[in-house]
Amino acid sequence: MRILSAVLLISACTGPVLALTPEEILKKVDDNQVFQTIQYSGTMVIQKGNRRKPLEKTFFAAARGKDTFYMEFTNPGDRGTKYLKLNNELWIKGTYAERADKISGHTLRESMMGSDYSYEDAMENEKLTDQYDVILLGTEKWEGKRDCYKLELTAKVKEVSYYRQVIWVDQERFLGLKVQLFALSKKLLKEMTVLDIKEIKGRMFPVEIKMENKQHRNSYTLFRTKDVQLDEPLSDSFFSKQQLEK
Amino acid sequence: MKNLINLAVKNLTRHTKRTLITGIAMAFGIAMLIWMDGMLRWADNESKRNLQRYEFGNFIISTKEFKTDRKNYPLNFMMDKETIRKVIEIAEGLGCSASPRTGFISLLSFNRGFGLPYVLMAMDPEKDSRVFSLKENILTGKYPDPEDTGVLISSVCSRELNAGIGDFITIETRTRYNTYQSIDIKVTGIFNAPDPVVNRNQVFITRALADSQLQTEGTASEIVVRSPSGENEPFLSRMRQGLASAGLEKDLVIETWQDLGSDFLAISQTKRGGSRIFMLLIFIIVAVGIINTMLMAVFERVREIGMLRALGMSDREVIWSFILEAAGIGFIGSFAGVLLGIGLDAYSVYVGLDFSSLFEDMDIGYRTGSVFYNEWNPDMMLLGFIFGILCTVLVSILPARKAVKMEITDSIRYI
Repeated sequence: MRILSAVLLISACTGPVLALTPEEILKKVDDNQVFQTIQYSGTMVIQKGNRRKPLEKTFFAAARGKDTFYMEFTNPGDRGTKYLKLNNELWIKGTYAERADKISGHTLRESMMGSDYSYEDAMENEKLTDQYDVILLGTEKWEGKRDCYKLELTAKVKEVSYYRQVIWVDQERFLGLKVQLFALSKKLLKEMTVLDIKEIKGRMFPVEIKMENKQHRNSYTLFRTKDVQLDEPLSDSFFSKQQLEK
Repeated sequence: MKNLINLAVKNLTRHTKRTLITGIAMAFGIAMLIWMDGMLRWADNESKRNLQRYEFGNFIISTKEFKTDRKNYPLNFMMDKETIRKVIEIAEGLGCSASPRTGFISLLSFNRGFGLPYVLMAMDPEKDSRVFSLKENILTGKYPDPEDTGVLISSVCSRELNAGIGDFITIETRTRYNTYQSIDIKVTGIFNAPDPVVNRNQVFITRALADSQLQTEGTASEIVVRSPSGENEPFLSRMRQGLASAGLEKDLVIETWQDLGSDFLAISQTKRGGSRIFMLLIFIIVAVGIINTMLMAVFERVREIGMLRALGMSDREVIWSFILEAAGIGFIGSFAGVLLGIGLDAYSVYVGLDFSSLFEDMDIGYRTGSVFYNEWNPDMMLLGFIFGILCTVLVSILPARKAVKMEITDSIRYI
């Protein structure tokens, strides 16, 4: 959930911080992802090419920290499909499957439920600062409203999903408002943009995100969340493989 | 016996139309049996040849870890440059050809259209052309040079993407280090291999391009070996010895084309069972035709049979006269069937039948192109001929016995 949570998760910071180095800004973005628990229901709207009507999938999700994540689809076509992330393992149980299967190897690169997110996007746990060298490209007004730092991240290790990223970070909240993800060839692959933010428990939370696949015409996924509950107690049963297989 | 034969021949010629109609039905069945057998035999053998010529060579050498996850083309179990050099040296020392390859699961698109899944195969064009036959199947454009920066795609891929020679297609994949990569590559060649698995699933770039764009750094996931004779042995055993003496047997494994194509070979075995069912169907056609004809002959000649028996002909001789008559129909039908089968075989051996409009986008399980040929099958021709006559003789016993069941007096008065 690394890429998604870069913009999904909340900012604890309240005021602008001046004279920060790019690494410090990135560290603050990383640190912002610290939370106890989260649960929400949501919708994924998936549009591919000339498809007349986008696919719409609804789900319930719950997470504890960064390493434990549960997601269950509730729309008629996928009802009962469940995902469970436990540390570095991702498990899926299909609607009619008796057992959960581990998603590994090449399968991790595949699209999650036909969306523009890959399983790997959901699996990455590494801190951005551990994987990327960062430089500040400048400051920009995002959507004409928010002052942003524009950071360029270039991979400093070989084993990294995206060779280059450009992130627009809200100067006040240290929240990634837009992320561009690039291939090794420096071609733009995906662009993730926050479309709507709401205040929840005094924290700013992005409730609508658009992930656009720049390689294919008219291909994007809208990720909408509602009924977000932060730092509320969560049952252990969500994060049990035995429970997943029931 | 001579009299019985004469009687049988006369009975056959007395009802020429009936004899011909029954014979034609038999001939058609036997001809179809010969033709279908020739075609299935060709498809089976051609598939085995194509497995070697386009997919697996004689055997493939890879790391043990790669072998366990081969279908997913893992990139984290590669052979390094030095290992590749040693393996190729051993293979070439045995007179074999060896080609290192690396497959990348990719999405191909053109003009930002929908992405199509293909395996991007990085190969050394010179070495690869000594192991595989792809070079002989170039439709347009050219087979890559070792330093080529273009991509060789199949005619199926070209049609699906609507891209041709000179167009730049986008290939999205992961590098050896699992980093997303997206490259625009010019189509420099289009092939049409007779192996549908290759046509529908693979596109080719050079290893040099993979080194520069996909971080392979001279490594490869497998080395495909082709023996000079086309047979696995004795090269396979010698290769194992060679790997052992180079100290590589702990890390590397060899899989033969039979191991790798075991799914196909199992299906092929099942299909052979299917051709036996086809023979049974032919038997039923022949049996129904002959029983019908012979029963008609018996009922038609009840009085005649009674007369012959009254004049002193034994029941055994009557039965034999009917069996010989049936054998005559069997001979005519089988002979015509074999002739027709040879004709159909000859057309299919030299011209072939183009099923492209039927099978183009369909997986029929064979590793062949859409033009089907036949193999000559003299054993099946002989078997069809004997089988046809035996069938008729066997199924004629029942109606012949019926001919002598009636009392002679009842037979003579039978209306």
